[in-house]
Amino acid sequence: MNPGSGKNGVELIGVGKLYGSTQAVRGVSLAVREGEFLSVVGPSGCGKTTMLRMIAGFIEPDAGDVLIGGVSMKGVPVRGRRVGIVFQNYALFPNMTVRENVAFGMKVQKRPQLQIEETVASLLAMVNMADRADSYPRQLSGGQQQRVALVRALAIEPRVLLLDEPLSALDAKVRNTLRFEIKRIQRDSGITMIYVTHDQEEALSISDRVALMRGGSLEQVGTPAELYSSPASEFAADFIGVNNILRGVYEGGGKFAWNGRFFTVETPAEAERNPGARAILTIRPERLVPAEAEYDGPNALEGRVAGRIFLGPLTRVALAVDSPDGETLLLDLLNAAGESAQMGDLLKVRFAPSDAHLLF
Amino acid sequence: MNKSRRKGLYFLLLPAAALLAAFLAWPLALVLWESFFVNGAFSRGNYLSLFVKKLYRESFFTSIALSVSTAFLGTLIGLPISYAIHKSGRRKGFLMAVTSVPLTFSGLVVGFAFIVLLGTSGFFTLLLKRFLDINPLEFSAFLFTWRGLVVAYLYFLIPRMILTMTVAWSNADWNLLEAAASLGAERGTIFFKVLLPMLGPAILSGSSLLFAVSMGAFGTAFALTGTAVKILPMVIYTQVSDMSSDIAQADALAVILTVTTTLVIMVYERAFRSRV
Repeated sequence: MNPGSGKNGVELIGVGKLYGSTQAVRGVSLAVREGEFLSVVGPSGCGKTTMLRMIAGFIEPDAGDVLIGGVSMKGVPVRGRRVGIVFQNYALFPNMTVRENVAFGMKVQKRPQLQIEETVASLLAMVNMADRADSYPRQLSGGQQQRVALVRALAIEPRVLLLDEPLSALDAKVRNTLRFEIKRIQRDSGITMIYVTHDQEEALSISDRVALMRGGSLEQVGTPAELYSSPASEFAADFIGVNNILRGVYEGGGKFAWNGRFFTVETPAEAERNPGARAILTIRPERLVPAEAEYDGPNALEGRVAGRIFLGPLTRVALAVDSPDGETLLLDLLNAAGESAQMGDLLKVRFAPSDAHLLF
Repeated sequence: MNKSRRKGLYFLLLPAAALLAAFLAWPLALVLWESFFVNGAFSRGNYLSLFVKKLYRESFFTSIALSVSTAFLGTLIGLPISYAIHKSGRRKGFLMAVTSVPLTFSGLVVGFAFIVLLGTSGFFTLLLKRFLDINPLEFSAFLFTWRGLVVAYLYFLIPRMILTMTVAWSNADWNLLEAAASLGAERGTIFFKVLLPMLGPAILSGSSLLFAVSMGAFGTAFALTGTAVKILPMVIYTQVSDMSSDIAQADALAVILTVTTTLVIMVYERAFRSRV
């Protein structure tokens, strides 16, 4: 079955949008399953918001088609799409109370008054805002306003909920709480959610799948674990999480040459077609582990500690590797009591062949 | 900052306060005081004459009609222009500068400009006579009535509306309209429930500004119509300058003008505060 064709699934088919001479979105095809939590992540200007706005109906695509529940949305106005939207700046109606804001969508749908009241009450209770029903938006904190905005969008029982950087204006603590609150609501209600963010960590932590965008195109789509451990490109490797990116040459036979060193790497079968090709080896900081001084196995590196950042559970160390280019690698060391790398310490590290990821 | 220090800082306001007292509060008080004397005796006569004397009553209502018309038309015309300027992108700075130019002219200059353009031998009047054979006297007669003043006043009132509204447009939260649309609202609902409440305060304060300015404007009317069109500022002027000058009566009319304008602005402000 076509994954995007569920009753409340979303499917983009070759969607494109041109602004002047800038191709904001180019030929994006993507299927979001009914009940799925998909994040769209990418640097600013990558087209993620434009894509979201095309699903909502604020922008008509120049090319391709947007399907909701398997039906083309061509010519369907925003109000006819039953798509909920949560904005970064909350966009609560300032002249209405919390209760009136949440009731707005049901009122314009002319639902019975009793039903509206019951729904509003239960939605506000769901986000712990029942006691603020008669407050005006300006009397609420940012986090509270976004909770109200969230249930206001849910009140119309949308087929899809679109969230455009909903947490970016909030401080870190509230952001973390609300992140999981959104996830809980999604799980409980089974609603399809498309969540746009520039924060890759946020995307990884709450999504079923993540779509990474760059320059208007999809760079990679996959589960958070796939994007993290098997980036499809250097851009993906660099954008998602922290990575060491080593530029070298693939010598064939699982050998990668870098700065006069040779590493043993696991390679997919098709890599064998490219011996002698320029290649990139990516290694996550937590995959570089300290080695004993007498270790003489493969994939060992030695360097001096050139910088260190304390991150609570770990210390991130910048290791200046002895090489002509003076390269620096990042590694994460778990903070155990009484031992920690000091500036200038000589440190030997290694990595398992399966922990490095080869890209051409 | 601790309390006593903050109190100390109020001393810094003294020069400004003294200035206000000398040039605003004191003259106002003087005007108010003098307005209660008829032939040296304390009396409400100067105020009662507003109801008795036709000239005063008519000038009061003409002023109100003139100001309401200019406020209404200025708002109606200024709104779309301000939106266009807001949306004009790179040319916005230039357009704003051009918009502000009429505000730098004295009222007299505006009056003479209209005479030169639309007066009996004005540029456009003669053009119309030449090509459409329109009688210049009949055409320009309009300019020297209170309706003509409406046209002339709009010249310096529309820019005020534009300046007020451009700020409002750039502070407007367009996501509100999108949120309303996504919740299923029709255009009409969005207009009345979201857009108007959003822009209402700015429109109200803009139009009350227009009202107040045209209640008090003098130069343009003086240049165009002399004292022929009876509006409050003109009648006050006549009371002060004519052979039969009656300063106390002028004071009373000035008080009425001030109070009316202030009341209108206060009512507007109320309406605006209860909405947000």
